[in-house]
Amino acid sequence: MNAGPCLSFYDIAMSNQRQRPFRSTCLVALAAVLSFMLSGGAILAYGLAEGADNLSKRLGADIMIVPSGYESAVTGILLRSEPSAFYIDPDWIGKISSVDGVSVASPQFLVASLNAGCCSVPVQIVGYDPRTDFVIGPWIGTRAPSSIYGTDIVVGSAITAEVGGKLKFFEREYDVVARLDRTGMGFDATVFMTIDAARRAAGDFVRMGGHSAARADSISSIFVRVSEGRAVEDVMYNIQKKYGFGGSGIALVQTRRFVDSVASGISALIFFIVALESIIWVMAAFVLAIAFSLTVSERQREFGLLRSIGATKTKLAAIVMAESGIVSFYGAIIGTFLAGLTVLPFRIYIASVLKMPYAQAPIDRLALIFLASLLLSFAVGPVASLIPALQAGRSDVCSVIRGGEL
Amino acid sequence: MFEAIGLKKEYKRDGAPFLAVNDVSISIGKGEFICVTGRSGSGKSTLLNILAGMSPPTSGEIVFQGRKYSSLKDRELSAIRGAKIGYIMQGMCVFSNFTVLQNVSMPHFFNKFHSDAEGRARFLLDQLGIERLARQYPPSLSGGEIRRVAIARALFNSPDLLIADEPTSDLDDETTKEIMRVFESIVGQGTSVLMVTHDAGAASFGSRRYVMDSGVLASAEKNQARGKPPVPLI
Repeated sequence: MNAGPCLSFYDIAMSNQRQRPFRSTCLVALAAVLSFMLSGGAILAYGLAEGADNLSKRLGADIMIVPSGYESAVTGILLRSEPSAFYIDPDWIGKISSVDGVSVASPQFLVASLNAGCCSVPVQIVGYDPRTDFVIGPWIGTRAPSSIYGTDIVVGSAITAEVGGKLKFFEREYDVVARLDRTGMGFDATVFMTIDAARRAAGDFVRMGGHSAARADSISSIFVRVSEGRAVEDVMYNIQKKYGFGGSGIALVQTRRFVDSVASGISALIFFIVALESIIWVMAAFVLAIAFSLTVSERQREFGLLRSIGATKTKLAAIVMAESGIVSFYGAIIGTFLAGLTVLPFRIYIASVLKMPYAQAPIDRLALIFLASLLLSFAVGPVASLIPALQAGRSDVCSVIRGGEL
Repeated sequence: MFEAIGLKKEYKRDGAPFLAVNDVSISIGKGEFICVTGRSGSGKSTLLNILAGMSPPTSGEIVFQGRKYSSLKDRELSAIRGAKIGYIMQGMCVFSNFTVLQNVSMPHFFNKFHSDAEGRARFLLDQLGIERLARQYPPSLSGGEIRRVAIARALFNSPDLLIADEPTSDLDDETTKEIMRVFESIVGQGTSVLMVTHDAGAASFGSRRYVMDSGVLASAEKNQARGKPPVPLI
């Protein structure tokens, strides 16, 4: 505080806060918790919203074909980074490709890995066909190789391996030749290789004592893009008509419906997060309002003194609001800083623990989110002290200065 | 310079109206030293708060240097209080979380009349003999020192009227005399003083004396002339 005689609003407000250290500390802590929750919630909500917006665009395929009963497993792989493995007969590639309206049918082969040397969480190994692929390729960044062969692998953005480095799965080393851009999907925690390499990895897995239901030529799923101008529903109907509506052993997942259902779930979750944060904000405002109201009540004599030396009601209100502003400012700074410390280094881990890889807010937007949370948290103090501030100005000094004696 | 006409202040006590100040009229000229005595609860402090413009009267009017309080907004009344009226409140009327120097110069925060606030504050502290305490905080001061700090603060903006509510309560005789000598000096410089006190000795310093009883203000001399017994001071 300014030790000289010329006091500022900050000096007066800060001095009053220092005079009640326990109360002030508790209020700052409350504002910090609010700020922490606002920042964390905002990052999650923003990541979810962006994930919902871009999911359809990211997926690329119109139809996914998986073994019957594994529709939810593919959701787990794509959205929640839950490694899984399931298989269908490889004849399905030819069958699906021949259906009227199918433009491209690209197979994938899945191997669920245990924890690998690169990662603290299990990773999904996906074998794909670079010749027909239209799902993975667009995500490979500028250093994309023309194709991949043998032990070449492409890693998701969340896999900690450098291009040019090596990764080991089931005691076999693979060369990292490219890295995907961040997809915000399960692809971020996935390792891609050719289907042949993936089948070999599955074989390695079995040799090491693991169990795999895959046959030597199995595939796991087929991603289908329909011909331009053809309705997805019509093509699905054609597939089902040609190979039967039941008992074929395969299930058709229409990407848009799948995305819509996910987006709907995400919207509900975002609504819940926003509602929860709003309630927390209002509750924090109430608690602060009660605290400031009590403080104003016990400081009536002090306000009377200030009035006696020329303070207007507006200035008294401003002093009270400055005090609450200081509380919420420090709380907001501390809370946002702690949220930053928690979220920045661990955002990928947190998203994976939440099983929502798409909930990672892009790092370039974090500053904006933190700033918005900071402002919202800071605003709670002055808003909460509006009524107490008016009380401070309205007090009848006549009765308060002398403690009731007339 | 200062005139109050027909002031009334009504409160509710147990649901019934109660006149804390009842038809009080008083005028104060430049350089006058007026003392008001009376029992506790007689309405003295309420009257001072009304005269200082801190509490509006239920009815009546106050005219200060030609300006009617009733026509002024809070901002204007506050400006008058900050510039023209020094108010010494009863009891511990200093800010314990600020130094003596900051307490004395606190009016500067609201009304910047002096370019050298610290110089003005130190001058007043020196005049009151407590300059050495400038960096001390009030809890470490004696009662007499705290009163001096309050007086210095009330004088910071060189007011035309000094209102003092029990400035010598709880002080020993010697300190009371010192404070009264300060007031006499202020009056000698042309500042009017209106002081409420329980202390008969302190009241004797006034050039005019009033007694307040049940909200009614009467001249002490008139009371005696009418043969009324003097109102007990405590």
